[in-house]
This record gives sequence, structure tokens and C-alpha cells, in this order.
Amino acid sequence: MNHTVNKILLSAYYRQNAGFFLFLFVVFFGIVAPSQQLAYHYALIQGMLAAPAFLFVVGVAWLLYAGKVFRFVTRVIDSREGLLLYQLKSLPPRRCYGVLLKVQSVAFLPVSAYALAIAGVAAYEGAWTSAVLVPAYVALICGLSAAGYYRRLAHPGAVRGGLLRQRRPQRAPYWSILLRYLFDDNLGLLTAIKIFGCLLLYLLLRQQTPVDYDLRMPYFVYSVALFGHGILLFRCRRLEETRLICYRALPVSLRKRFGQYCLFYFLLLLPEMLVLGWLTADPIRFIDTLELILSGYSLLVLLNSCLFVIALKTGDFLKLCLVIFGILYGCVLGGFLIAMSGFFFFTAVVLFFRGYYRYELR
Amino acid sequence: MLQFTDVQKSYGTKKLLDIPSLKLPGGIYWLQGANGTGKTSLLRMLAGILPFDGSIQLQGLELRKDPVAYRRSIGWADAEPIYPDFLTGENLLNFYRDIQKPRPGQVDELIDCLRVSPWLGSKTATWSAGMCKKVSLLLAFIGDAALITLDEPLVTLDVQGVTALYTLILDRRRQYGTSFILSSHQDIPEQALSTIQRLMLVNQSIKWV
Repeated sequence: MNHTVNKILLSAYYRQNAGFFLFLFVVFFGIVAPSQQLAYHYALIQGMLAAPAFLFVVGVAWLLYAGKVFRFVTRVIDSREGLLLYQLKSLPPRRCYGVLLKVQSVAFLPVSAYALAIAGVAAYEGAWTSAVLVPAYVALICGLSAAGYYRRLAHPGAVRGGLLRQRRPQRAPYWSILLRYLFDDNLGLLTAIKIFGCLLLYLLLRQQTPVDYDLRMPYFVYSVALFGHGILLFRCRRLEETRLICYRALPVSLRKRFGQYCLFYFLLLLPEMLVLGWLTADPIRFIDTLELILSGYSLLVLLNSCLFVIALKTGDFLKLCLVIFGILYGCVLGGFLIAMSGFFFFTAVVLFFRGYYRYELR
Repeated sequence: MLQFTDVQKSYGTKKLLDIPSLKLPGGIYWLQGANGTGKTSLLRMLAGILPFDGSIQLQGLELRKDPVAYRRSIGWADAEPIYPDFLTGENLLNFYRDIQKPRPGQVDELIDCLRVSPWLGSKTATWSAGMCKKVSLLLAFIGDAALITLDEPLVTLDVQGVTALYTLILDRRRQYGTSFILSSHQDIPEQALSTIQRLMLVNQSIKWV
């Protein structure tokens, strides 16, 4: 049983998050010379023990990581691939809980190891409160998470009780379904794209000065982030074709359908828009902000419309993205980005209205 | 009620359907045909999901000229319904409610009849094929469609579900004059739907049986 659980949950978890752990490893151990590692982390931990606010931030980060593990495990339990896990219910409750606690502990190992190091340093320095509280906090997270998995196994798929009809129906517009898909099934990629796009854009734009003002590099980074959005967009279209085909049969006008996509891509690009808005006037000019926002937004809407005209495989779609990015980058160098954004949006409208009902699902 | 004019459907070079002219008056129809004859494609064309050549009119509404009004007049349930894993049945119902604007109480009546209430709060990822099928049937009945097309509605349904479906069809036909086209490889007993008429898809076209 343990072997099966390890294979379904732990191996899958570490395999799926290999990139994430590599990134963390580079951040924690790759930026300091090997000979300085011990001193660096010792200083870091001393900083945590000296400043409760710092330790609190670390605690919040661990909680976020616990949420990531929890989402993964519960998603597997809810999926068809996780059906075997329901065999755990045949075990005595304590043993079942023990297996789930073990799963959580192994998935939480990177945090537990660092927490142990913090507790060790705290004990060495006589900071007994931290020495006790830090491991207790980690143990509490693990214990509660395992209890959550146990409950999930006992009540498969349960979200709410049977008071369905007493509650007021909540609206479920189409754009919200697409957005939920990104948050539920593509959270890792979405977060990576947003962190990459917003953070690098912010750092590069902060470098701009009236004397040394050149947006080519920031725009290149922005383009790479938009390229990442293209992958998300492609996945959304795949979801529509496989699991949301009923939407096509519903009485919704083309204008409203297009509006749903426009709103969805606006919300998707909102973090970048906010970063750009924040930096407008100082250090970047209003016209440049406008260019970056309009070009990015019109590009996403255009890519979406293209996928209602031709059925593309992933590789072909990425090639199409590269071609469009090439055109757009040419516009950056040529200085007629706003005009090109208008053209992209206009093309997107025409393609969508001509192609939507003619497009054949494959 | 339903009129086909020069309707053709091809996949690549292979022509699947060729219906020069056909008029179907209101009623309950059982669409039969061997595997691969185009039953699912035909029902998807009727629902406005698959593009085709020619014209289909439902109660005078042409699919291409009045896409919204036409779609308001037709309900559709897929043979193997599949929904996003992260949505609950409640999410799906609200999504349909928003668009179809059903009369007050209609959705609750359908929930009661098909007895889907216990799992509407759970995510579709946890549903069995039968649960998925019942909810897809429920969704097809939401609104005031003049024609409801059901692709293999009996597959994966339990006995109680089959009875509930027949009851729903008969009630809807009697109260609102709704027409139905059901494709099914399973037997539909005449005592269950006494007025059912048979259609056969052969040689790329629809024939009366």
C-alpha cells in the first residue's frame, strides 16, 4: 500500500515540481559560493531569529507551500487516477491517518529540513521560544494537512452540504470558468509567468532614466512573458474544445462571446498592466505604457481569434506566436506600435466573427 | 418544425451526410443507424456545434441567420458528456441558468425528477459516467427549447434514470409541445414513449422507417 501511495502521490509530486525545486535550489544555494554556504545560511537564520517579522514572513511562505502540497494531493484524490487511494479507507483510521501524515511529511521535507536547522540554531543561541515554536508550527501544518486528506477520502468530492436550493444562485460567467481553469489546473505556469513578467518588467523599467531611456530590452522581456501567456491561451482553447463544447450550442451572441474573451484576457494581463501603470510618468512615459498595454492585450485577443480560424497543434501554434512576436518587435523598432495594436485588434474582431461558428472542433 | 435543405457534411474528402430536402413535423423521433453513419455529427450540426453546408431551419429560424434565436430553440445533450474537472454541478447549473434564463422552479423540478441533488455540490472529476450523463440531460432540458436532441441518452443511465427521462420527455411534449430527437442503439420500448417515430440514417441521408 505504501509503495502505491508513494508512487501516486509523492513521485508524481516531485516529478511535476522538479522545475520549482530546481528554481528554489538555485535561489538558496546557487547564489553564494560553496565555501560561504554555511556562513550565509547561519546569518540568514540569525536574521530570522532576531527579527520576528522576518520569521513571520518565512512562516507565511511555508504556509503557501503547504497550500501547494495540499492542492496537489487533494486534486489527485479527486481525480480518476487517484481512485486506488480510496483503498486506504479499508485500513484502521489511525493507520490510514499515519500513511497520509507520512505523505505530507515527505512532501514537506524541504521545509521541515530548514525548520530543523532554524530550531537547531535557535537552541544553540538560547532562543528557546523559537526553538520550540518553529518545529511545532511545521508539525501542526503537517498534522492538519493529513487530517484534511483523511477527510477528503472519507467524503469524496464533497464541497458543500445539501442546502443547494436555499442559497441564491451565484453567477458563473464564461470568463470566470476560463480563469478558474488557469488557477486550478495551471497555477504553477501562471505564477511563473506572472512572476517572470511582472518582476523583470519592473526591474528593467526601474532602470530607465531620462538620459538613458531605451525600452527595447524591457519590451523583449515583455514579449517573452506574452509568449508564456500564449501557452496558457492555447491550453484554454483545448479545454474549450474538449470539455466546454456545450458553450457553442448555447444562445449567446457573437458580440457577447467576444466580450467574454476580451474580459478574460484583460484580467489575465491585469498584473502587468498594474506594474506598468505604477511606473508611468516616472520612470516611463505615458505613451510607452499605453503602447505596451495595448500591444500585449491586442496580441492575446488576436492569438485567441486565430485559434477559431485554424486548428493548430501546439508546435504550430508556438511557431505562429513567434511570427506574430517578430512582427510586433519590428513595430517596436519602427515606432508604430499603437497603430499595429489597432490593426491586431481589428483583425482579431474580423477573424473571430468570421471564424467562430465555421471553426470545426477536432 | 425542422427543415433540411441541401445539407451536406464531409470530413476531408469523405462525405458523411447528404440530405437534399427533408421536413420533420413536431414529434418524438428515434434516430437509428449503424456506427459511423453520422448520428452524432447530425445532432451536433443541429445543435450548432459542427459547421456544415446547406441550411437547417427550426420553426422558421435559420441557424446561420438567427444563431442566437435558433440556439435558444434547441437543447442538446452529448453522448459522452465531459466537463471541466474543477467545476461542480452547481457551477454548471448556474452557468446554464445565466444564459438560458429558465422559468422559476424549472431547474428544481428537473433536479427532483432526475435525483441529481446529492452530487451537485461535488466536482465533476468525482462523478461516475452515469452521474455526468444525468446532469447533461438536466442541462439540455433547461430553458424553453422547441426541440431537444439527446445523443445516446440511455447509455450509463440506471433504471430509475431511464424512467425519469421518459417521464420528462412525455411531460415536456404534453405541456409545451417540445419535440425530441433521440439517437440510441438501445431499445426504446413503445410502451415507454408510445408516439415515438423512427428515423434511419442510411446512405448518408435520413429515411423514415
